[in-house]
Amino acid sequence: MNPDIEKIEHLLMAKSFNELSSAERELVLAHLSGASEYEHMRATISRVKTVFSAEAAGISPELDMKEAVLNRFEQNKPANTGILSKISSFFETLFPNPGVRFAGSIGLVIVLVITGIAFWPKNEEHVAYMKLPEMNEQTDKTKDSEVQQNQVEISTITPSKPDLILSEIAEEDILADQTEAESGAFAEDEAVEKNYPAEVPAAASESVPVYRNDDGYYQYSNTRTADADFKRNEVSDAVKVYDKKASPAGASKTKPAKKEEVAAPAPGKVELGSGIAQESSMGELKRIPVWPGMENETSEAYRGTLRKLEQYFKEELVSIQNKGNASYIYLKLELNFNTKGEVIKAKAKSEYITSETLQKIEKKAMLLPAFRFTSQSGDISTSQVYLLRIL
Amino acid sequence: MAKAAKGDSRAFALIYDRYAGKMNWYFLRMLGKDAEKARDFTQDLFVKLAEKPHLFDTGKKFSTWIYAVAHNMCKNEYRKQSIRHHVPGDDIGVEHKVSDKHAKDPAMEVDKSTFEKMLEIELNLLDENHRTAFLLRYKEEMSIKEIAEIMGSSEGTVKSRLFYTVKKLSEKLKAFEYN
Repeated sequence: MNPDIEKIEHLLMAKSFNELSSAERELVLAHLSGASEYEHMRATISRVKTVFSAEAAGISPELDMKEAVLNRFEQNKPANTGILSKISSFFETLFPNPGVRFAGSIGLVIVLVITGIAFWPKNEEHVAYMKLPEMNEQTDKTKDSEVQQNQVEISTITPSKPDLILSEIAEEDILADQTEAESGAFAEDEAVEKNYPAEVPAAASESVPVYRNDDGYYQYSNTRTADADFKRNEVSDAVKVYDKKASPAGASKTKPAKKEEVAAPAPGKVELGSGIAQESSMGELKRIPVWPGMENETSEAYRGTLRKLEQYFKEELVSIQNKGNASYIYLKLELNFNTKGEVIKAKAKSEYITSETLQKIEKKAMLLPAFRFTSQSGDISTSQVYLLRIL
Repeated sequence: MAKAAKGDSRAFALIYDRYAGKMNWYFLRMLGKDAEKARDFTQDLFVKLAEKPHLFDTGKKFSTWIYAVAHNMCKNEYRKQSIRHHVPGDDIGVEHKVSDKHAKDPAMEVDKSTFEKMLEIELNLLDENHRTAFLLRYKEEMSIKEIAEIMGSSEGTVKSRLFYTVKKLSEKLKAFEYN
């Protein structure tokens, strides 16, 4: 039984049992024993509200507490300078709606990546060509002279390079690696891992506890959430998502997602099909989309995330050239932030996957947009970003 | 809150003025009327906000978000201390004996304070999920959808919890109705 409390509640607030219409009485009597119970519930709600209002009126914000938290706020004010901050503000002005801004951000990244791939040099040497001026038999001597001087014009064509992604990676050594790659060598799904240990201070070596539930879910949290709650939230999230969007797996509100479809992967082991849930709060674990609301991150966290994304994309754009028939890339970024919101460690992992694997993923989850899994361990918060980019 | 996240102190002060009392009351009710603990929790909540205002998700209504944070704090506290069945003041068994006596003695005068006392006892006997849903609905007058978001439950579950909570409370408290 799942009574529509809102309807009954509305009646309880508005009408006595005697004032109910026959249809309303029918609804009420489907769930309550009779007029007496209805009137008791009516009285209870009314009195409870009175009690709560009186209680709350007697509680006012404490001034000393206010002073303390305001001082703390002043000490932790986010810096709001720098070019990325300005870019963020620009996007905020351009797209006031967070959803539109999110779509714009994702679209921009995709466009930049695709543009980078499309125009990136593929082993070809710089091309020289000869431009022959049109010969005109009617030309006078002066013109003939000019033609003679310009008869052979050699130009070098360099493929376009989008500034944001490729401007810093056209060094010779990277290009040399590219040319040494075996064409078509990639046949199986392959994992690649990269670390940035130089940026890691000692404190970042703390690890985030991970719990694996009996049914295969993973939790990233200092405090383990009860298995029952975890499952309920996960499934609830999946239903919410599928309620709003068509699922590649064909799930819907009446056919909820299976638990495998919303499972989070364990660190160090990328499990395809992760990162579907919209937003949930499981104990201290917060799982939220990467991009919406990023403008409200502390500017350092925002910059750091973008920097790492950029850096990783740059490297991947180069290395993907080595992967022959690899069609897709699945990225996982693990970013550690300190209490100031600065990125202190970034670990990136990617899997080059074939179209067959992609089909398996699509049956399980929607991987775009990416999701950020944030957990807290001491002073270190860790975000994991999952992206699937079609190259 | 978006302004506060960007460092606007006035915006943050406004949030404190608007929500500190409400949060204090919520914690008071959720933590067995332990005033000291409720105060500490309120302060902890606002210190978290002060230190990490960027954690606020602008995709959410602020009231929904802050109650969700408070709800999680309470859940963690329940896990730590199993206070679910703690009843402040007198021993619960004694209270129930009084309750029976009241119920059997119509001549006994039942006033508002008795009702309040019994309401407090019955609320503290509720499962925390039922209690949270009830408080958010009848104190904060939140919609079912908002409560579901805060608790990470479906709307159907919230409706069901509310219905049975009201029903149960009215049964328990009918002997203490006052005019």
